[in-house]
Amino acid sequence: MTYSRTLLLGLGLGVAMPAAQVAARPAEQSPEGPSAATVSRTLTMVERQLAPRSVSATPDENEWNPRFSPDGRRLSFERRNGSAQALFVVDVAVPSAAAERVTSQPPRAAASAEEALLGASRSDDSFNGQLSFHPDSRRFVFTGNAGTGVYRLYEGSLEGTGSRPLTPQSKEDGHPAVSPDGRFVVYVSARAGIGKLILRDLTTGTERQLTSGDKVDLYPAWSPDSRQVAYTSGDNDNHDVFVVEVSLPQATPRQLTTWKYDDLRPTFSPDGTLLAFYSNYSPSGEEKEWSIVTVPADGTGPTKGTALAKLAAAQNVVKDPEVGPAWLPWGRALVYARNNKAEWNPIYLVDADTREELRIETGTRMNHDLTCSRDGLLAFRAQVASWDDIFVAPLRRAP
Amino acid sequence: MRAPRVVWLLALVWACALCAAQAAVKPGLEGAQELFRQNRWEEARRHLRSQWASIPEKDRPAASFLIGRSHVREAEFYRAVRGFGDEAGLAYLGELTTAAASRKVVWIPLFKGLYQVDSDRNAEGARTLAPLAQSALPAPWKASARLRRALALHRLGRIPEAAALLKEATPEARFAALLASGKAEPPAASATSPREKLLTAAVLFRAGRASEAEALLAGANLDLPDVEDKSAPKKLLRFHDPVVASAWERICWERAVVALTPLATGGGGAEASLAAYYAGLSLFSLGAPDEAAKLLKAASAALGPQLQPSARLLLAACGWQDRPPAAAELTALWDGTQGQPDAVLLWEELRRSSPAKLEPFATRLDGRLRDLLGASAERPSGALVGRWGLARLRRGEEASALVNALSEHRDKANKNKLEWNDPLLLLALSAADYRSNQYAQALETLFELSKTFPGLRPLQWNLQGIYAARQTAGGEARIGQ
Repeated sequence: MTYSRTLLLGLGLGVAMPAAQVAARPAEQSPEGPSAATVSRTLTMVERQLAPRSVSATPDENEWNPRFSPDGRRLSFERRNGSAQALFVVDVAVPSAAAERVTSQPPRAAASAEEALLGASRSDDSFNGQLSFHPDSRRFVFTGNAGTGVYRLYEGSLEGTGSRPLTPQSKEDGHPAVSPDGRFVVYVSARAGIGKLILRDLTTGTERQLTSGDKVDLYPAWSPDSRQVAYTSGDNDNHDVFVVEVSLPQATPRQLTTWKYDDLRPTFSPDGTLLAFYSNYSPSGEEKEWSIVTVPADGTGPTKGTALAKLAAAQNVVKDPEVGPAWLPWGRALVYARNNKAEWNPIYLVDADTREELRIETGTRMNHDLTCSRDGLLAFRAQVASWDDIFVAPLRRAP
Repeated sequence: MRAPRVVWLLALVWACALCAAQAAVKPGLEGAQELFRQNRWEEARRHLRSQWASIPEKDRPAASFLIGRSHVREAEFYRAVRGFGDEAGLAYLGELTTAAASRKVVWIPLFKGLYQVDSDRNAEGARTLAPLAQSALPAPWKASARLRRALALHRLGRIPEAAALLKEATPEARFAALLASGKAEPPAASATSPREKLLTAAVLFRAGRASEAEALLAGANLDLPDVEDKSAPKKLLRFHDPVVASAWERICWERAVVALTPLATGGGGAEASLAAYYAGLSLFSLGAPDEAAKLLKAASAALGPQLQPSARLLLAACGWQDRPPAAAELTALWDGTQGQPDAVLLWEELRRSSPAKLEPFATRLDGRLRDLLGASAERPSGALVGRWGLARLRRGEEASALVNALSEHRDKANKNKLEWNDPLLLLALSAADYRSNQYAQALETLFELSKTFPGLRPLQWNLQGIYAARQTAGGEARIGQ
């Protein structure tokens, strides 16, 4: 504990850690992992000095929420565009590729001479976001409102055929997540009065409500085998992490956390054994500091107290607003931005087993919204001249 | 604790909330069009004016039209604000009247009378204001009472009596004369107070002296109360004269006329007929039917199907001041225009100002109004929905049902944001919430609107007073806010 505090204090005073230093936490902080002396093999595979390139560069607009296609070739991100929230998909394998706009609003000609004069036909005033790719990496589902006040799910593809509503009915639908096997999409809908998870079979169109109860369920995320969905459930005072079996029609969700801290946006590790989530538990007791906690996905881990606190893999992290912590595609490690404004929120990796950490240098400022493709391409949001752009850089060291 | 559903909605647009920095506005006409679509009318105009020299010649007619159209939108908005403001103002004064501690406040009957006249309750207004000549009011406010009573008398047909009272040369007298007859001489003396400047500007505009009027309006502040009463300890009462809102609405219409008339008379193409229509509408709203008719005649043949019925109806209404319409004329007009929602709302607005003339259509108009939004396959615009909601509220229809109907058209995740919701829709929702005694919701919406439209503050203040009075059993303890 003392070591950890000293480290944080040092950062707070602007004492920079040596670049690319691998720091092992004391063994008592990570009882589940191997001894602290072990050097994480996962982290040794990482390039420590990155040269990110922007894939969204616009001089005066913010971009955020990058999400990779399963094949790692395409990246979606969101941008505020006038009164619209626009969604774009870019081919990251092609340098300087133009991003393709995805929208829920069908193109239309001006309905009158007045609309033409006022430029109304050019406008796309729709909200679009939260894109989730199909496993074929060509099709996707996203949340949109087609320029109206009605939020629903839309499906689209990169074939240029436009998008169409996925469901005939909607009640503030959103947060879609397509299963890795492509059979289902799970999403949040308020049609039961409050936000609940709905499972939709993408082939037959049949739906069933996955969760019930009087709490709001949000941020569903699939296990790699498409059998389970992890999510956040709670109210303004507290959220906890749950997992529900999709294959069992009447399955009771497993509650993975029960403590007083807010636990948000769980994500499965690539091997499906661990879940990582943001928690406002912090050793310092500061409510506004967030940690990344990792727990066994099968529910065998502690759900509260000191035992769960010990599973905090990283502390004082920048909590991404839309998705959960980002796993590396190999090993069991996470990449995150540390909440250290004095150093522009530097990017770190942490091995979930050993708790070893590694700082990587990117030369970018105010990093957040991190995600990693299956090939180890890191995407994140960083600030350039007060506007946020999306950057990518390969994390994996060349063999 | 906030309801879980709200949490979900907040989560849905989390990304929006994060995106604190707005994207920079595109240069030229395109940027202004974007601002216009976001209902940021003043910003759109400022954007165009600051870049006028660099706007290509081919874009200038569209840019001029946008400036004029934005003034029309603002005028329509402030007209609706006045309607709601009069209702809330009178209700607030009613609450003050029943509160024992306020009973002796001399301002209450004065402002009650002013609001009655502003809302066309002329007989009541004249009765309320008559005794104030003998009251302890300061002399300028006695003059206000006298002039506003004169206006009420004029509207009641007691023209010679009113004319004698409206002979004064003060800014307020000239403005009252303008409201009474549609024209007035500008005051000879220069205006000094912000209120006098506003009233004088409205008169100057009508006299064709727009640049002098604009000079007076530089730095105009619509936020200030007209009177603050501190006669009771720990209690501050603020009173707003509705004449300020009335003058401001007229100024918006006048600015529209100034911007659109050159385009209507000097240009060609679609923008000329559209400019003529909106300039005609503005002049009609300013009580200048003859001038309006000239422009509407020129416009109507070239207008598209959306505006042609409204132009036809407006043109007909221009002649009704001199010659009330015959039943056959009304029937033909109704049959030829009632298919267009904008025209139906115009019928309702015309009936409001001259109910006797249009009363045979009350039943048909009510039925058509009820079904107005459901009839179209296209999603109606927020402005249309807002006008529809306000029209139905004026007709005293059940407010909580209207809250639900209007909410269906509001962007639920960005519920009070102007970029996503038309100001008229938000205002109608606030008015419906108020009628349903949902004061907190009504105020929340007004608060967001008032960031862009400072002329809303008097309404906000009065509504806050009503809320304070009705939320506590006695009301008096908190009425001073």
